[in-house]
Amino acid sequence: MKAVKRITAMLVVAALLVAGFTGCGKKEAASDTIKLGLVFSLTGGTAISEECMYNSAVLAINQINEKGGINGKKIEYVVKDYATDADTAVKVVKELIMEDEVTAIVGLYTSSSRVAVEPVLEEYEIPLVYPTFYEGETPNKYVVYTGAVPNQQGDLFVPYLMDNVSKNFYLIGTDTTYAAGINEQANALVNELGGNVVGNELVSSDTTEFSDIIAKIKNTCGDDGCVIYANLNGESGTAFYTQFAAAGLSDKYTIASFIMDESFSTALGAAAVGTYASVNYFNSIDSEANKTFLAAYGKEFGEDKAAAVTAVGEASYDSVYLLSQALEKCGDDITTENILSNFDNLTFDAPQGTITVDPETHHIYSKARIGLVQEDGTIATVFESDDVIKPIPVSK
Amino acid sequence: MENKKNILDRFKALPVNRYLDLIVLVFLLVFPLFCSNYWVYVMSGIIAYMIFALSLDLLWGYTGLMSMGHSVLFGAGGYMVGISCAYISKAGWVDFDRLPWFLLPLSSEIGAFLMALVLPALISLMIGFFMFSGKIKGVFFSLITLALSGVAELFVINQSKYTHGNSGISVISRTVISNSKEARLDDFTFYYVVLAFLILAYIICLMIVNSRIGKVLQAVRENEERLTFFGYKPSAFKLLIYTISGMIAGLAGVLYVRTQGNINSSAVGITLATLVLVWVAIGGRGNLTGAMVGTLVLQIAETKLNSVFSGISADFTQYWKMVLGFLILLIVFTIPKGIVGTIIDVQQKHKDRRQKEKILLREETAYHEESGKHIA
Repeated sequence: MKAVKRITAMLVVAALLVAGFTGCGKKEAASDTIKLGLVFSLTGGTAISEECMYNSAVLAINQINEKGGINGKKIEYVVKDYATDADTAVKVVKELIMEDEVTAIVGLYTSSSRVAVEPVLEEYEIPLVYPTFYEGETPNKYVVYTGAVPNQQGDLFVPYLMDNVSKNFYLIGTDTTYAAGINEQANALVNELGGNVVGNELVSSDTTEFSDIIAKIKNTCGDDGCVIYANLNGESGTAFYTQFAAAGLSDKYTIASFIMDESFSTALGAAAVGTYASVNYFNSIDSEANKTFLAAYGKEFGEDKAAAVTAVGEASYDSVYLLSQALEKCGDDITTENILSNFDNLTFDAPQGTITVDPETHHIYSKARIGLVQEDGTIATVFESDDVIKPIPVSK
Repeated sequence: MENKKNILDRFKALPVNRYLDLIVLVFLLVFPLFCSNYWVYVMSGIIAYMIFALSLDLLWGYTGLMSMGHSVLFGAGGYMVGISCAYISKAGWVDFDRLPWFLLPLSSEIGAFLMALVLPALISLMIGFFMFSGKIKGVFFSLITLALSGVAELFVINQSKYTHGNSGISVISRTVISNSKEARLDDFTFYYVVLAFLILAYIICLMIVNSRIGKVLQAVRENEERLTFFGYKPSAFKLLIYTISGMIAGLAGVLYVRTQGNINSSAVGITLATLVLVWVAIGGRGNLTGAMVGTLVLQIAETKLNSVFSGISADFTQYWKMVLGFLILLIVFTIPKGIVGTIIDVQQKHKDRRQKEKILLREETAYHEESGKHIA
């Protein structure tokens, strides 16, 4: 009995020691490269959306390295998977900072991961470039935001829909800060412009059964035609589009949503055709910059993947380029302070058009675009603002 | 001299898992001396999770109540600290001047810490009262608690005025009670603070399970009806252990939040509730050691795999979860009693065989003596 005890005890000790101590020493860093951290969900609920963000970022880094790097230094990157989980995001960002000693970080998609990571950035003073459109917040000193904020999407979307579709609006949203904020903004705007809000509804984020809401829409909207302004998260959104089309309402009423993009429209198929979307980038944009970008993307990752590049993917590509410019301006004196101040007024000829970083908020000036989903799942641009729009991340 | 021998004998008679406890303790004590700050931070989080796993083991392993929503209690503790921190430090999203009356203690730092222990206890007391007095048991208990964690997650997201919805709350990290940046401990010191809490929680759990209450709890697990016939009231004992377990889970929540520096809705959700069940199941339930070892092994494996896989190649990164899942399946299939459960089993078998041999030997000699007599 003693022998068994001893052997098992020794085995467990050995296992724990091996597990605990192997490779927990520091990793060596080469000095003639600039090390960047990429944090995306390669697994988890939002992995589908983030795959193209990750690919675009890698594409940009490869392109910069081919052109000779930043001031002669090549970019080296470390990828971490945060698995759509804010706690894991904190963990891997700390690992990037403490173990890999990266200069800056590009990535993150969910708002909860961004909020979770901010204290870490503040403590270790490392900049993050965040490439996702989001609800807007008081800008964090260490974050540069390269996605659109609601005022860059909604302010022109609602008037366009009123002129071209209908003056009646039925608002539906997931009960989150993001969607509730957007719908509130739309509500105010519709009333201001003399339209009718015939319904205003928030549903919980796991709602996938919409028969009662669809019945309500039928009853309240009548024969006049109506804009269904639906900002519903993931699963819930898919369910709504499908059930709405199945109920045969797509001919009478039109769905318009912030959440519609190329990955969503391809996944939905026929149910998404004829609905409106509003982001600052569509895959179908007919410009030289966009064509070159998509061609390069297709060459690297396959043509079918290039068709699924969305606004967040394009924003990740821009993020890396903006960051490389900021690093280039630093010269040999690469400090966080310098990198962040170099972002002020930085411009880049992005696939979506020229974007500029606002020095006050570190958000970007970008154009607003409205798109109509086509038969083949692509989104055609039907409206484009003449000029770039100033980002207003916090509305008073 | 005899006394000394007695102690030695008693020490030798301890089950093998108490030795494992000692090994785990020594391992945790020396760990920071050999590892980088990052790993010290990771390990602090794991230790907080170990406390959480202990609290579930009390409930599931000893009493047989398989709670599938234990994260609710963990998250309730964490959120108390989170809301308090946001309120005191006036976070950007806070647009309320006053807390509702039942959250008033959160306006002081110590109040928040106490609330983080009391609220989970109250929640489990309330839910436990309705369930146990309603004689809900077995799989129905599990289902109701599962639903509870789902509801809690939605509740937290929808109460965005106080919880900041989906985005979660940032908290000053590496303190226990204070909410000021100056009071921050370094990774190293904070690690030992968390470890001290683990030891405390472990001792409390050990005292409970070795007391007479602990014996009754195990009787609840084995045969509740028979216990009732003996004149006990199982529901009272179940309620007691659920409340204590809730309080310990709340403590774990506080420590975890203080390690991570933030809390969000996933802390009360189904994912974490399931994860903790897996840790306890892999480690082996009903012996405290299993809960700790399971958490330690799986959490280290998870962190290591993620980091190793992304180190090899970026395209390879996504397979780390598959490997982890495969590992868990393998363990569940080959040793369904968990790591520690199997070790204890092996020891028990060995002991039994010895006992059997001893009895056989005695019988044999007795038989020989007997037959000797006959011959004579």
